[in-house]
Amino acid sequence: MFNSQKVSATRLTIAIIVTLFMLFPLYWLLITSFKPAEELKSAIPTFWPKHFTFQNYVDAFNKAPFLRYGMNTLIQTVGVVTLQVNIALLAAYAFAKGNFFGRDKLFLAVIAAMVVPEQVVFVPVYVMMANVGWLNTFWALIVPNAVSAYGIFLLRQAFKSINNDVIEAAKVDGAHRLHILYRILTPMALPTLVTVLIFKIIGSWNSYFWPLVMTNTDNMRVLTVGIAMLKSSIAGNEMLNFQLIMAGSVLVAAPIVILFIFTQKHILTAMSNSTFK
Amino acid sequence: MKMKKWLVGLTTAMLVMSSMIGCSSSTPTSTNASEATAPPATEDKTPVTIQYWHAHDDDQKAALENMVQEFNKKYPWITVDTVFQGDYDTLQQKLQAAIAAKQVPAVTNIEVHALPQFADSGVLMDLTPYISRDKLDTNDFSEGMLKAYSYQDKQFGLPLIVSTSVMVYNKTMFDQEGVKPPQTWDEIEEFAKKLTKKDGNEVSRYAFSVPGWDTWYFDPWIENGGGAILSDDMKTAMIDQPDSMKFMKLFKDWKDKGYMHIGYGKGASGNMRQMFFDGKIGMVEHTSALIKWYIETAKFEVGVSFLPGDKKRNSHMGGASIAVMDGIKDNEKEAAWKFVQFMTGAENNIKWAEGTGYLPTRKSAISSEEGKAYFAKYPQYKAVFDNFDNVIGPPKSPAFNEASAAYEEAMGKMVLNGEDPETLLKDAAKKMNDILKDQ
Repeated sequence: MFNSQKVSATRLTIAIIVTLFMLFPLYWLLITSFKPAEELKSAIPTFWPKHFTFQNYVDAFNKAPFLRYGMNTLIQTVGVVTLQVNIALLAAYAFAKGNFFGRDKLFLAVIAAMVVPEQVVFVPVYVMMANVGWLNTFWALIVPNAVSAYGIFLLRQAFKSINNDVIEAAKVDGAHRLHILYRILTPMALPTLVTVLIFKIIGSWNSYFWPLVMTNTDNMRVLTVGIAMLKSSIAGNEMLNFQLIMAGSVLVAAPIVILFIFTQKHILTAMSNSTFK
Repeated sequence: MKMKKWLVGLTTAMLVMSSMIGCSSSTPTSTNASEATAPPATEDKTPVTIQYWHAHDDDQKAALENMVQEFNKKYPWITVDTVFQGDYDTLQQKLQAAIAAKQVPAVTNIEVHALPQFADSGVLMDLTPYISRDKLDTNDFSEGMLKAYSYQDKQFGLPLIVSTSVMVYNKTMFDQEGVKPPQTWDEIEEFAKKLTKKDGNEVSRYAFSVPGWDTWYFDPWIENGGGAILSDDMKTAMIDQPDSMKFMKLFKDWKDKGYMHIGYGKGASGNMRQMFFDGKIGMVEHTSALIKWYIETAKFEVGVSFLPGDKKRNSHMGGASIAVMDGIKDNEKEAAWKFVQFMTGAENNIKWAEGTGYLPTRKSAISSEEGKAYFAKYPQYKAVFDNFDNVIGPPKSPAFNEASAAYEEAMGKMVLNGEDPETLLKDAAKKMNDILKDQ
């Protein structure tokens, strides 16, 4: 039999090694953003900047209107996530507790939508957006992303695990459907909801392809596209000015990391409690 | 099981639907192939705005802004909206969407390998009638660069961003060792023997390196040996012909002797550059767009030589053209054509080349005073211009990109597993023929 202390020590060591592996790219991102360009060219990589500089951040800010980009990213994310979460709640409630013709088949259609990548559907959506004159507006950034099949799927699972008696009792008390959904079911499915919320915020914040395709002017661009515009490269594929890109990336990633730190507890319970049930 | 069937059915239906929507509306709108005359030139000065969709990187932005300003001085009634659309791949995807939506920009970049695809679908404006109407002297362009953007004898765009693969060498090392960069394949053996260094069985210095991670770098080697990638009608793979296979057999031989380094896979480019800077490789084949960067980064003197030749001595083009989209209004076409001429014109050619790091395209610009000053500053570019007309475009098949993956993989297997070139290329040819058949 294993000594339990030994086991936990082994576990800890493995955990530390794995964590280091995960943290290293972030560490590299951060220190590269503080290195001067010359240091990146040197043959032996330095694990700590020899000359610590903020110049890359200054350059990144000067080269593009990052405040405008940040504002746009924020508006897009808030819009998308608000719609996604509410529509997912309503749809998940119907799929989990509703009783109507073709319910399960419709749900399969929703799941099928999960496996279709955006590159497949963007052409017809682009045409639609062009026809209604929504290109280069927030409508095109938000409305086509209003429904998240993934969110519907996760919340349906959560709602399914809630006993019907709860709903019946509320009905007896005279609660109508929206009241049941938002006041009773939603709090009970909170861990799942937080998971959906966080994944969707991250997804929308980091989206690149969609906002690039749907917008045309500098005042509608988002952060991720802004970073791509800082790039200097060889024939478009081999990056030469990593220090600038990294500085830009730190600016984009910072809000997400801060969000993670503050909501860490919810994320962890959500992951272990609901997703793998 | 039942669920799976459902899923497959549904997804397929959605995919088909979306691709149908995509295709049905992307058919050319106003292509009239028989029309070979441009409308007569008019002096219409009513204000017009044209969009230019581009993939210019940040380091080219200043040069682009400068050009647009100069253009506005000359044609104050034309406003050019420059819109960055990501790299070439994203730009092309977006262009396809825009074509389907019938809301295209007036002017765009077309990457050289993508030209056949776009020209074939009839979405680009044929510039030929405009060229003859305005008597544009096309002989002033490098012949190969111009031809790279013609398709079935029609000119779809003019060369704007041109790079080509060159041999970048460590001149300091070459002078010490008393070698010169090889100009023909026959000279390579002797050159490499002198330069290669070994510690026992380990090679401590390779004479030269040719990238294997992208066929663009070894495509000219296939042709220079007397072979071809595709047949003239673009319907059959020629990669399994004896002359086409010659280069890879030589590569294997040189590689086995320790003369040659071939990079393959992710990170190979960075690796190769580092080995070059560390003096572990004497000479590397790379894009001319990097010449300036090599000169600035290396701690030794850098020289540039054209690719060594055998039966031919060509080098392939990279980069993009500037092209006009069909399906825009006539006055926009006129403005777009003016912009295209200005961007590729001889008067700003050297300034544009210097600002972007790409190659000049005009013979008159190279022989001008400005051009001479440019060569005095960067004598390394001379190697390219001594072979100006030998910089040519890739094979013009809409399936080229897809088909080239087959022999790129063959190169990988030769490099990594040391497999036999003949078997590999014969297999690759079979795969390529399957792809070409579907066209």
